[in-house]
Amino acid sequence: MKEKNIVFKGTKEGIWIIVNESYPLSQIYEEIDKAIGEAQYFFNGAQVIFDVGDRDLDKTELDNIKEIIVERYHLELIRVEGREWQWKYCPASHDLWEKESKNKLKKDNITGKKDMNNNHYIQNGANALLIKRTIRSGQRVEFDGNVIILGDVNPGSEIIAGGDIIVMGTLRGIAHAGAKGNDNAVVTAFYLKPMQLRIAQYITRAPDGEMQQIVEPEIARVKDGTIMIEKYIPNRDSYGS
Amino acid sequence: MGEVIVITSGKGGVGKTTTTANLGTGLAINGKKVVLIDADIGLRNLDLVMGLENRIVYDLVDVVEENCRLRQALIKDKRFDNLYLLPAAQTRDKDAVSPDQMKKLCVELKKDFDYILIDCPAGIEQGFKNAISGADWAVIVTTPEVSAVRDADRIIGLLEAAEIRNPKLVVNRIKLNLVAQKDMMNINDMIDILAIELLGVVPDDEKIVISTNRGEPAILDEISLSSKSYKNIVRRILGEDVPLMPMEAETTFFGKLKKLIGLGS
Repeated sequence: MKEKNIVFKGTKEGIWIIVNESYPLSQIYEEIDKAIGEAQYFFNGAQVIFDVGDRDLDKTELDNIKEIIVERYHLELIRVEGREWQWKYCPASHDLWEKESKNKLKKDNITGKKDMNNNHYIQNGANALLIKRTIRSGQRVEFDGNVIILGDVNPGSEIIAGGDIIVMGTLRGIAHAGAKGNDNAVVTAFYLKPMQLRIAQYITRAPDGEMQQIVEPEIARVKDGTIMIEKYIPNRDSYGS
Repeated sequence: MGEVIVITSGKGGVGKTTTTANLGTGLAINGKKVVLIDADIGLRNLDLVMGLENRIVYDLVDVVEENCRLRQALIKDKRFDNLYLLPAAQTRDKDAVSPDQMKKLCVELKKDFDYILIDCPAGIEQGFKNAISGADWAVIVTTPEVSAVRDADRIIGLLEAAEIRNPKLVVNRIKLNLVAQKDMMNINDMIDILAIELLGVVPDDEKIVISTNRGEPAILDEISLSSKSYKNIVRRILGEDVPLMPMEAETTFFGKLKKLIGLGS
């Protein structure tokens, strides 16, 4: 698969512009300029988070980013985000940029299989993808945050989420919650009959032969190093606690 | 050094996957080290027929893209320790793999396995080209229908062009009573047209549907007619000279009665 040098991603916070880590910054300005220029309506007045991945930036580089995003296209630059640092433009400060160290939240992708192709970690609950249809064999949903499906997940399909997976229907395919190493992630479904369940680096599969017929919502989570499936109890299992 | 056999047909639904599963299991019963490769990327089925769907973590595409080692992607069969499956990816398409990559993979597997069976997708496009690229010889599966035979003929031509010589024919799903009534294509007619060696004939058998849905290859069933046919084919692949099973079936009540009382027909 060819990796793109720049990826745009719409989030609640604004538009993330994610720059491939291995691509030199000096070459990226022109490309970003072109990309924004081509889609000015999309970006019109947008709030932008510029993600540079595992890099440390100096003032000139930050100024260059600001030059394109703020001065040329009149977008609002919320912050420049790296893996370990984030910078906010702040005219009051001494050198115009305020540099903050981030908590190192990101864990390495332990399973090592799926490269999620981005370099920032979104906390549980920060972001969700809502899909109102049935996911069929051969279809694959991959998302950083939580994934909610209003429909079924059929065998032969895959849902891969950085956070939790909630299926308002029957889950019969493969679900991978906490795909970037978050073993607090859970998988919940009205009818939980997955081919295979993965949470962070843990993996379990459906038993061979006849399965117990359970017709109530269930929740899967990691307990003592294995994936446990239990009846979903609304108060106990509610989120945000 | 192992042998790479591609199971192909051109036409869809004639029983390539079922044949692959049964022959692979049969070879494993005979103590051979076997790996089945599902080359039908995007429409994989072999894992279902083998009853191994819930064990898939890595697949063929992961192997060629080097997301994992070959060993990690091979799924050991539930019943036989010397039988493995390399599943296809379901969320990708045929272009995810190239003939050169398949060839390389076959060379790699030949070192460790006696038989490598490749379940070819229907059609003559990219998927077919991938599936045959590493093959030493081919099993052509066809049913006694003009359309299936026509497609088989086309496939044999393409295999010749790809310099895969000596394909062998499996006639699948023959309905014994229809042949007896002369309402179905005769096996001899089919061999006349295709002009290749006959490897075996498998009767139409309801048990196949049951075993497919259960994920247990029919060859494991001791008594069924289809199981016997598959076992004979396996022995022929292993180099034994096995005569064809008598495939006549009495169609009328009187015919059965005559046979019963020893008058013959």
